[in-house]
Amino acid sequence: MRKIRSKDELAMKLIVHIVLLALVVMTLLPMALTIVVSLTDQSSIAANGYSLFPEKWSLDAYKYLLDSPNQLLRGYKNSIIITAFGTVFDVIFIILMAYPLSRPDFAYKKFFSVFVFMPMLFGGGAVASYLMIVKYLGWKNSFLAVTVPGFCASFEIFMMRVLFQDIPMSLQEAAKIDGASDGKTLVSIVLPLSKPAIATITLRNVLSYWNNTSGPQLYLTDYKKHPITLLLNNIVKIVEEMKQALLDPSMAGGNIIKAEDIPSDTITYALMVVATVPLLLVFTRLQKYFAKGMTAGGVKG
Amino acid sequence: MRVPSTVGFGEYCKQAKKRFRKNKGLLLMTVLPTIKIFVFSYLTLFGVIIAFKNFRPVDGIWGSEWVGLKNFEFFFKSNDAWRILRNTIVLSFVNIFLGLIANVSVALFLYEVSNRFALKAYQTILFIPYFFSYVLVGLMLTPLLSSNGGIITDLIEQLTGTAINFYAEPIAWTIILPIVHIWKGVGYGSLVYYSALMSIDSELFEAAEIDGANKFQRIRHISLPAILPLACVLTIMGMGGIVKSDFGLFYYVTRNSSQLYEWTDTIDTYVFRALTTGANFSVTSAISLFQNVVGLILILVTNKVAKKVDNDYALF
Repeated sequence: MRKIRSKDELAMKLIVHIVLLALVVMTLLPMALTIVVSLTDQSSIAANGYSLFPEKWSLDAYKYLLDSPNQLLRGYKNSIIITAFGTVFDVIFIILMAYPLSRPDFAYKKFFSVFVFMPMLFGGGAVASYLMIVKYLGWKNSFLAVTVPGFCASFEIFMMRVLFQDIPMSLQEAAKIDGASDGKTLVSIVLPLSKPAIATITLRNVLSYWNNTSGPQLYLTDYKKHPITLLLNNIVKIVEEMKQALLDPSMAGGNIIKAEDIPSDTITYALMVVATVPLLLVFTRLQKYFAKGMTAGGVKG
Repeated sequence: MRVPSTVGFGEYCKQAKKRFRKNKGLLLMTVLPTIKIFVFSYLTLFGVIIAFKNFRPVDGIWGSEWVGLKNFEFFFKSNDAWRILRNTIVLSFVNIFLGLIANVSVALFLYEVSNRFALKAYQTILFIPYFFSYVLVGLMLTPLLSSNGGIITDLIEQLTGTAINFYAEPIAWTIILPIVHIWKGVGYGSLVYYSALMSIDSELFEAAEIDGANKFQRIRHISLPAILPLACVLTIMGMGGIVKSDFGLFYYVTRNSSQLYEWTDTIDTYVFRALTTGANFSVTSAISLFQNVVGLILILVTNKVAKKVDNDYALF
């Protein structure tokens, strides 16, 4: 039977939903606005400013974007290469260090724990890393510069170790008695049992490599190497360049385009939408993995 | 004669060899990560000496001239020092405390929602901004805050009659940035408190209800005490990172606008700008070192405090 609630209780429920709905609206407003502006006619913005309910809608921005898609496609390609390479090797490096640390019978456990832990306390600083990467390794304009320095962060190693420790040691000992090497135990027993943990770490890395902007901005000065976040960062300049390209009669295929016809404001927003929506669709579906392992970590144990 | 308690050197070598052979497989695994960590976290420690030298790229790190503490002196006597230290600490504090209030409140609100579908919908939507890069977030603010037809700017003008240009009002960003920080992080940040609430024994609430406690009393005496240790520890740990600001928030959300530096420039953005523009590496290095030393002290102190509150949550 349903519990009969008092009036107070119902009022409370109502307040809770009103507050949460207000938060939801505030969360969605900037996103909705971005999409609407990308679909607004340039003249509407010039006349009335930005609005959720523009006078005149238009697909011009997307049309222009599709007319010169090279930069966008190259940005996507670079982002995918950086994210795929970075994530795969980062996760492999994390596992290779976290697994020995999770084994109670590893004789050098203490040494490696301290070795991994110290960088969490103190580092050489941003200048030293910059010089190491640019001057000594010579990785300027190489995707290595924006991936390798992020490999096997101490925090993630410890997080993965805690998750590995959940796997019963008896299973691993049984494999050992059967003559399996450490590598074989890791691949055939430990990894299959830690799929959710690996999924969590992998997704965290995908997100951080995809969104990394400061690394590419420091190390990838060649515009052909720019990932999508950097395109967004330089968006004002890029839209200006696109405008120039479109105004060039040799590029526009003989059509003469007037500068004021080009929707330079709305192209920015169209580019934001195109750059974000595909990834967002994927991530929102996999959200539950991000929540997991949030509190795992800690160096003890 | 006393029998020596330690084993002989030969015996020791034998044991070490045996131990090595037994752990060979696991040791082999650690090779690649060890090289990476050594190069990027230990070799770079030598870079600290740049802070005490007049670094010139042509001379290299070793060849440059020693200048003692001159770089620190130069930085602390400059006008930038006070500004970026103040901003780093003030903005981190505001972010931590407003973030805490927002995360705990949202978790408490979500906990009151009993409809599964509504709960899932709220959580999913509040989580979305977590996936955005700060570059994107910074661009999304333009249609809201632009002095040229921005929605919020227009609204304020209609209500008060004065036009505000947010991108020329640095002080306004001490409020805007924390709001953006909450907007982006509350879906994720409230989760940890929400799961703490979920682990409360429901019998406690039922007993309180029978005893005649109303909703607010139940929240005050059951829900809040249940998440208090977690909130304390997370806040204390946050304090440990106070000199390392949320770089993306301060650099990309403000679009690195020099008009806003007065209240948005922090140690991290200052150092990053120095690297991108190729400014004085020695002074930058000195700032970095100062930041790391203060950061180290703060982590050690906060960890000790966190240990006192709840040993489970201490970092080490």
